[in-house]
Amino acid sequence: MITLTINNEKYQIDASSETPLLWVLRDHLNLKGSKYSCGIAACGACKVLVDGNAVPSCVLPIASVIDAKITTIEGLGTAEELHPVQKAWIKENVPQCGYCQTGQIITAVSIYDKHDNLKKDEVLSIMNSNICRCGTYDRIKKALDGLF
Amino acid sequence: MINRRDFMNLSFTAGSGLILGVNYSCIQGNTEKHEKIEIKNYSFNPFLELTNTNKATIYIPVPEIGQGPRTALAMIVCEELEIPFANVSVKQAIASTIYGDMSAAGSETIDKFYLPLREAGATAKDMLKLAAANIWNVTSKNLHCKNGYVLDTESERKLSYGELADEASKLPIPESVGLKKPQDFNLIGTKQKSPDLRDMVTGKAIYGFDASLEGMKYVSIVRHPVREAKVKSFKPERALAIPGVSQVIEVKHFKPIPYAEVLPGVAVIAKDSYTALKAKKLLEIEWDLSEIENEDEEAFQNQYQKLKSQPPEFVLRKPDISKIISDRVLEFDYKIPFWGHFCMEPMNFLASYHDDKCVLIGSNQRPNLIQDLISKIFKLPLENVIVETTLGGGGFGRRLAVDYALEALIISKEVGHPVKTLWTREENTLQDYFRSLSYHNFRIGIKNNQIHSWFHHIMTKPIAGGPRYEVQGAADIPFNIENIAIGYTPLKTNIRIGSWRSVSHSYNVFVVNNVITEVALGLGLDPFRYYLELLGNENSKTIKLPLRGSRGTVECNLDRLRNVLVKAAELSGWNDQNGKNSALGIACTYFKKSYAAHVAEVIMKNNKVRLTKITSVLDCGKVVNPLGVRAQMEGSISDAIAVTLKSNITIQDGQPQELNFDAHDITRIQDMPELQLHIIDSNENPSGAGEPPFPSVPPAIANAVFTLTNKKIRTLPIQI
Ligand code: FES
Ligand code: FES
Repeated sequence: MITLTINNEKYQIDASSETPLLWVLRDHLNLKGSKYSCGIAACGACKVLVDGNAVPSCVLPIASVIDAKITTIEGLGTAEELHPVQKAWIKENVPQCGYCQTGQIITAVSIYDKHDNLKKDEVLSIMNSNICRCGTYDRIKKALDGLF
Repeated sequence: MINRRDFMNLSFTAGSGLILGVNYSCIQGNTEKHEKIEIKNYSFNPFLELTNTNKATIYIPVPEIGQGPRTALAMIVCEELEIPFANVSVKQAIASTIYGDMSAAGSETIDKFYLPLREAGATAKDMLKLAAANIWNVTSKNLHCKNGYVLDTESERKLSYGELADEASKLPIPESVGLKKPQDFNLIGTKQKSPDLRDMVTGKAIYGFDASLEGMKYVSIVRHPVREAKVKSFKPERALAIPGVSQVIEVKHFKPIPYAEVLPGVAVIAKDSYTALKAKKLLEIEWDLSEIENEDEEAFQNQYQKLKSQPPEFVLRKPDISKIISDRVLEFDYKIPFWGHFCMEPMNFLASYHDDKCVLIGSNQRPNLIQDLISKIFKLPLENVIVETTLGGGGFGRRLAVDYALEALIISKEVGHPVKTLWTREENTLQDYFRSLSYHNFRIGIKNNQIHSWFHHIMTKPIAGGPRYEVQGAADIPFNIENIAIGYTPLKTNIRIGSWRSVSHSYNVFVVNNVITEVALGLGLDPFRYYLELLGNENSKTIKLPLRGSRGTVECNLDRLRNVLVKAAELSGWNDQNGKNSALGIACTYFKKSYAAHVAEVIMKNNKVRLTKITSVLDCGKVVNPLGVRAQMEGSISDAIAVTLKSNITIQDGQPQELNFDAHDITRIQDMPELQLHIIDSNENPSGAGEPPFPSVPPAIANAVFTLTNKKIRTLPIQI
């Protein structure tokens, strides 16, 4: 049994220690907002926040995040009040198919919540780790413009 | 074609609370409690239900893969029904012949459903009006509908649709209905956001990958990278020894139709995804490779060299050769590579075969085909095959093939419980239906400093036998050229091919537009002005081709085509070009009833070519949802950057080589240039927007690169 802290709750996980966090979230905990797309940390669809950093969960063994604070897309904001990044995404109507947007939003949240005062091109170079096959980039840029 | 009244009658089951669809992503938006009141549903037609609590539900027949039918189609119903868009919930219809062709294909959704959906809304509105008239004992002529109410302006009475639903649903369906005049539209043409937006940004939206059924297990399948390989034998023991693995079975090759080819392999069935993925690595499989051909790029090239020296197998347009006497002939040879779909959500399907009843759940582009095919293969009545369409993480033509749905059902039948298949990204590429590799040979005859003859020989692997889906964008060029000859010869390859955003336009429009710019510049002409000259002065042109059905008679409205071209030139500042270090490239095309033109701007910086701006102009008739159309224009540009500047699929030893995003990178946010989008204001009937804005982007980029560097571009991606 491995204990993980996800969205401020503790979970006992019955899975081998090398299991990637993505599959534990999806199949064990029914937290299906994190998506599988490449499985090799190349697209960002599966990103979660680990102690505030956006990391691909598809290659992240659960053994490596035992002591970490994990936040998934389901854990952003509250029922009454969405996270400012989610609000910006709604304002700009960012998603098309929507499948990559969890990863996009998690990455943007990791930047936003750190208050690092990054320059625009620094923000974009971090966002470059996420792929959107539908090409929603122009609207992502607009959403980011409202945030940074 | 069923007539409108029959259509409206088909599922007229007032008060039955008939369930026509599935409600994946709107569950959250729909949880308002009506304590004390019993909610009753009234179905007015296959598209529309009203409740006594004044809620409307609209059933969307066309799969949502990011192209926006759940927004646009719902808007069309709301417009005629006179109900606020925010008041409706949207459900995905399950597969049914009631809707006719439900497929998300050919950018035809709006074209296909515009009228039926307006009539669906208008019919219900008339019935609600009549119900109010009966209650008030007045004639319905003096009543008006607005915001979900029937109003009697004279007496200032009003009744909500909810209050009238029961009464209205008992009335006969009117023989004919009047539709609103486009100038009275108050919803169509306004910017509306997706009903799934909130679920998408909170992780609640349900895609195929996320769907589940009681008792389901997860399946991962090992197949050979080459399609013709067969399983000779396999040892399941080591995989079965992994806790959580319940079965290992062989999947046999099965190809009822080309678009549903189940490839041979060995499937691991396990309690969760990771166990299946882990265990499959332990399978020991011996493959029969006797039928494998070790195809590679060199073999394709040799095939091309041979074919181009022979006359085309099919002739699509033929001039009178005796008249062709040119001053000189320019020859162009292009190779446009295979492309994969790389949908963000890899293929997967949830299927259950139990007691001669099938349930199939997942993202797809063709619900009817899945239902029909499975009913035929397993000899089950259609109603025993329930196909639920979830949101899809992209489609781009890949999900027009239904191999992965059939595969899941075959496995479920064999193991006796519901299964969810999951394909890895690499498998998704290996088992793709690629856009075909194509070769093009042009011989352009020049006389009096203009194009006098145009010979274009196209070679691709055809989707269905001969030239049918392979020549659009080339054989139907509407140019004012005296002698046009178009030929087609099939390429032979074992690589599996299919439809990819805009199908043959994706390669033909590229080569055609690249030839025009190169020839124009070679003749010392301005490519934009020369293009206009090629488009002549006629208002429209009809091109006859020896192809069946609508493909045999192609209408091009030249006014509209010239208009988008001129607009793109004007917006991009074509006439004010002066930079030594920058250049513009222009291209245009028509795709069915839509027209698009693009101008790309590139600059030279530190000895590297950079794409800095794209101007995009689209005329797709009356626009239903400008936000949706813009999204398609943006997506087209993003797609175009990927295939023009970043990636392709190559074949070695019969195997696709670029399988994941490490070797096959696609457009990322930093690759996106500045965009300038313009949608033509039009009252023509709405036409497609998903594919039409794509084909002219790659040649606009290539033409800009050529203009800047003077390097001829003969294949993609361009190395810049
Ligand atoms: S699925 Fe993890 S980065 Fe692509
Ligand atoms: S919205 Fe479809 S992949 Fe990004």
